[in-house]
Amino acid sequence: MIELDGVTRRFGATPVLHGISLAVPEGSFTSILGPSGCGKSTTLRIMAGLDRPSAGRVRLNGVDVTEATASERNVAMVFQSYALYPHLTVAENIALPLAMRQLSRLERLAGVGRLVPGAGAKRAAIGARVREVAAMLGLEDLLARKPAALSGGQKQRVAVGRALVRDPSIFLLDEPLSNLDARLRVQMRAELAALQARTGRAFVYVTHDQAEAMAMSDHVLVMMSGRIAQAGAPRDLYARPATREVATFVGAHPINLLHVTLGASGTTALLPGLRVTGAANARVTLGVRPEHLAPAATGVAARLERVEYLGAESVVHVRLDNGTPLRALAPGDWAPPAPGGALTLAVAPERVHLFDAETGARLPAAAERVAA
Amino acid sequence: MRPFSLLALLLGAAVVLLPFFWMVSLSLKPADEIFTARVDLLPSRLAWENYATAFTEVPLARFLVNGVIVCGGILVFQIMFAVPCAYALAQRRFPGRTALFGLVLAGLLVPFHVTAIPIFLGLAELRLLNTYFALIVPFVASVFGIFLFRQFFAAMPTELFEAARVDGLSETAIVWRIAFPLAWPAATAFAVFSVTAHWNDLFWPLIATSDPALATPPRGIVYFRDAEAGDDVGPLMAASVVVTTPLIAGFLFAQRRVTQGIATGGLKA
Repeated sequence: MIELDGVTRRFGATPVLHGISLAVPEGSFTSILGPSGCGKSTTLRIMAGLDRPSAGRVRLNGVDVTEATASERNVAMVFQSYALYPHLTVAENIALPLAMRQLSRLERLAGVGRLVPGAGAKRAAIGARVREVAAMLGLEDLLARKPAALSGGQKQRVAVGRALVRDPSIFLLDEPLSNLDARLRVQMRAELAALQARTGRAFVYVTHDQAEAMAMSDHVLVMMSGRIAQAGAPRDLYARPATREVATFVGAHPINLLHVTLGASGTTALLPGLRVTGAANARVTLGVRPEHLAPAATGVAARLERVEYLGAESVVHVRLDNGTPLRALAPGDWAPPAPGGALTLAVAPERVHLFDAETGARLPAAAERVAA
Repeated sequence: MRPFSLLALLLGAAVVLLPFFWMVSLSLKPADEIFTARVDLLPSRLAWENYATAFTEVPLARFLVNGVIVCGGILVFQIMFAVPCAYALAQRRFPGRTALFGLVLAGLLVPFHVTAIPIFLGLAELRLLNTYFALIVPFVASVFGIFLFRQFFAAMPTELFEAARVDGLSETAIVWRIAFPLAWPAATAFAVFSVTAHWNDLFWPLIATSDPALATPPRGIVYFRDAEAGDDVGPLMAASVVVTTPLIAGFLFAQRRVTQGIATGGLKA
């Protein structure tokens, strides 16, 4: 497992990471999710040993490796650009990490190496391991090719194979799917998750795509401007976002945020039929996900603006009477009224998130249904 | 437009090639045809004996071997020093990196002739004049080489070197296993520059050596100039042809790589 303890990183005077502490347990698939510039890649580079923290410690399996270089730590990394060695074949690319670790300097020398006793057996073992990994990833037919002759998906597999070939204590993946097309990305998502289950090693997966993080990981760290905004299982992040920012970032459809001042009884005219106990007269932000706001016979009155038909479902853009825009989700077979027509939306009160209007932090109070 | 530019290029090429043509022509002319009032472009008969004389009158083969030893030695050491320096300047972060690179650029501005006398005196004090060492060592650190390779390495993606670090390669291993093989176009271009400059160099061998056994090809050709007996032009030209041919052949061989190395200065993804 890998642990960061109070890790701070400054580039010049600009702090990028503010005292991050986290632990990735053995066998976990942990995603670091966040918008670009939030410090997630820096965190991964510090784990890899490609960057040093300005303060704080890094521990790998209980050993302090803060000052250890990347080659001294036994970690494997898959880069966004794949970073394959263009002058080596696929087989040589995959074999290089093994050759560097298992062969001595003399044994690696071209020509001379073959004369050293025992080197032949080691080379044969490396070759066997490379073929094994290639078979696992479906690369057997490509072993003699150079990276320039591979497609994006194939390069991706070779990069994974290069990480997989030795038995590292942890796998670090830096947005490895972002250069693939949408269909391939979904396929590789499943393959990577299966691979992680098969190796049983810890994976740390950096991404800005919340769908990838939710689909693959058992643990997600949401990073916002150099801090961990929330850590938890994908379900926790979705069901109980700790801040307004996390709520905005997580979820396939952007959440509706309504800035309201609650009345004395904890109600708001904007969403009648809803009452927040213990938050009377407070300025709060109500978060309602589009998937929890559906056209129904009774509920909030609104006017239809636009419908995005997606097949299985439709995104319904409406405007409340006071002009507030909202997004709702309707089943694909829902028949919308004409644009500008009136409709009512039902809200499930237990699905409404409450955030402090000033700080954006989640409020403990819960909304409940009242008779309108 | 096209025929005009073609014509201009042909004229330019003719002007550049004329001395070479004249050299080849003279090297094949019998002695009595060389000193005539008329200008004959082609020899009346091919006087191959000029070449025989060139190889027998002076140890031309020895000069060529010396040229290979000196140019090869210079090139090997130049690459051995320039490639790691360039890699450090391009892909490592350390205090004073920019200043150091500034010094490299400043070094490009200093002609060798400025430092020749101090180097000569130093070698004289060390009693190393008249050795291969004296012919090679002043050139082993090439600022031009450092500059050329640095530009090439700076254009390479940093992730490639980071991947190598994660894969367990030391910085030295990265230089020779990853960076250098990818810099082949730059290395070829540099080799052509370096070999041409040092193969043709007469200035330094003339100063640093007096032993005919150590003479490089241009230094050797000078032995044909004899103030008392008169210049032996036929064999002199034959020797010049022999000395020039390997360079031209080498350049034609490396031509495509050279233009690539200078034009792209980087790595296609």
